Amino acid sequence: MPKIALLALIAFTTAVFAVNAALSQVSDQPAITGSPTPALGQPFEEVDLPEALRTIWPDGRNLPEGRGGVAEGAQVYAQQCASCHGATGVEGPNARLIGSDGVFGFGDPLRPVRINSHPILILSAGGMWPHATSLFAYVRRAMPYGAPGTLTDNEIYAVTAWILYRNGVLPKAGVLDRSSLPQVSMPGAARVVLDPETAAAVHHPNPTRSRGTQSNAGSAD
Amino acid sequence: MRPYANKLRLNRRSLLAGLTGAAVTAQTSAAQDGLMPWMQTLGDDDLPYGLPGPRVANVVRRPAADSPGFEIWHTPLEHLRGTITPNGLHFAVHHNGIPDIDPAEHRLVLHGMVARPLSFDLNSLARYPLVTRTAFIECAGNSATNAVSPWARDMTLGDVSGQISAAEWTGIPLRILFDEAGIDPAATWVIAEGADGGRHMRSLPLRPLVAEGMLALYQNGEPLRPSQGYPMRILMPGWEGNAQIKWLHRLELADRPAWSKDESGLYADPLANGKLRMMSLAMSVKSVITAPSGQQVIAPGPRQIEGLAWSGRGRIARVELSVDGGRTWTEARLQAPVQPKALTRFSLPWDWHNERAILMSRATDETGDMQPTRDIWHDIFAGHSFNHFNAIQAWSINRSGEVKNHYA
Repeated sequence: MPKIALLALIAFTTAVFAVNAALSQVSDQPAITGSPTPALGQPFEEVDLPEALRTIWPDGRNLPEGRGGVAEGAQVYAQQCASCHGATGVEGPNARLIGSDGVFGFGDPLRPVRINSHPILILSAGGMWPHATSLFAYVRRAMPYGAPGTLTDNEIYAVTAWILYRNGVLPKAGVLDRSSLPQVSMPGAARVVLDPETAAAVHHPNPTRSRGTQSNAGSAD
Repeated sequence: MRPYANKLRLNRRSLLAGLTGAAVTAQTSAAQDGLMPWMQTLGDDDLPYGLPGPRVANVVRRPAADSPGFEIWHTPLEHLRGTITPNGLHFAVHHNGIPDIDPAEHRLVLHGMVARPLSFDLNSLARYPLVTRTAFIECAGNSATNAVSPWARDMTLGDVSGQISAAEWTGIPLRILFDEAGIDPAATWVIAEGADGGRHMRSLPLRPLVAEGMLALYQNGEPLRPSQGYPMRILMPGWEGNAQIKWLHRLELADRPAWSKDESGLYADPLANGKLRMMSLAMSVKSVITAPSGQQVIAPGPRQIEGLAWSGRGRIARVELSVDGGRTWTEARLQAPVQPKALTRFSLPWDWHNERAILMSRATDETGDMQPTRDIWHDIFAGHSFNHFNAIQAWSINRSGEVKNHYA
């Protein structure tokens, strides 16, 4: 009896498949693709990305032409930056640009009060940032506050030089351009530890293994 | 809208006048007793987009007590119930303001270490299969005041820890878009950038984004609010808010990080050993008692101790409560469903009779991670460190029932 039931089931299933196959050949049947993606992305050429939108890398890739030194940078800073960051880059009210990360000093009797009223001021590019290119890239993307994109590349190199000079990282005669900026050694670099979970996530156990390079496979692992 | 509303009101009035007239002829005695004023008048018109009523005008976001030079708005946790934050009350941190993005002009570019660089517009993205999930977002700097202030400042819960919110997010799994572009096997990082006036940028590990990341388009069923990244943002459940790039317009696959401003400084963690921990993304297990909480005054008698717990690494396994400053602990009841990387509400009945008390909640997540005390947190993080502060929050209650922020 079970054997007969099984045969009946097979026959029925086959019939259903046959009907489905016949239906699928009808030309006006809507197409249910089952694809995980409609694949509607438009082809895009890397060279079409505006230069201003390209990532500036710590090794200097995508740094623009131009150059600027500490002296010009002092002028740019006074005109464009001092109103928010303070006359010498330490007074605020906005982010402190000069000094270490524990900037108020443990001997400062008003340290708790200062931290309480300006907690952000305890972080600085000079004290923490591991790469000098980050400073150029950030000023180019986001500064001056309220009018990003208005500084020339020469002005950005110059104000970067001034900030690095004030942090004791660059000599007073220092001039920055696309080849010298990535060479600047930042004090923060020696103190950086990558978060262990993030380090594990970017570690390639098997770099040769393909990860989802087949289009529309719906699997990237 | 107004002419239509007036017409509607006129019609309803004439109808009501007719009914009242009939009632008056049938019963000529005095007016009915026991009716509240609002039962005796026609109510107000509704609005095209509903707003909270004037009676709950105190349930609003508040700006951070210490302005760091950019906008920070805190969710008033002590006024909310449930586990979802209303869209208008979601916490927000904007480093360069809220951009006014034209959705017809906005493009998401996916490029770098991919086989086929692609550009997407909003209309195309709306045709992809969408998924929905509930997730919290917490700012890395949430509760920073309790991390850095040498004394416990007298503040409300929302003022101390209101940079945590949760929503039901709907969007496209990032792996679908990554697969369409074809991931280069050597890619390990994603450079994600927003279209705001500052183009906020972070370097993010690729593998977790493939596994769990979403291009979010909707929040609690409606298009993203401008404050939350309209028209699109990254949602990566469990990560610090700063990494979940709003107003997303560029994803570049790479084999190294770019070392953007925030990952280099503001969102790095100075450690007690002098090192600088960078690229820390997961928000550790944490909980806060929402009631009773800071600056409230409680009355004697039975009540519920209630609060919220969450973990960026999974589900909440257990929340324990203490009313004696941590000497004894009692396991709280968790309200189902307990979802991973979402808010979990806990409660426990309590009978208070004017005795001094110090209330604390201590959450443990499904990985076994338990909240540290404030002292233990500071054994790991530098004294001026203020990100990823997940230490146990304490509230002291005096004999008059006044609740205050407390270090225990």
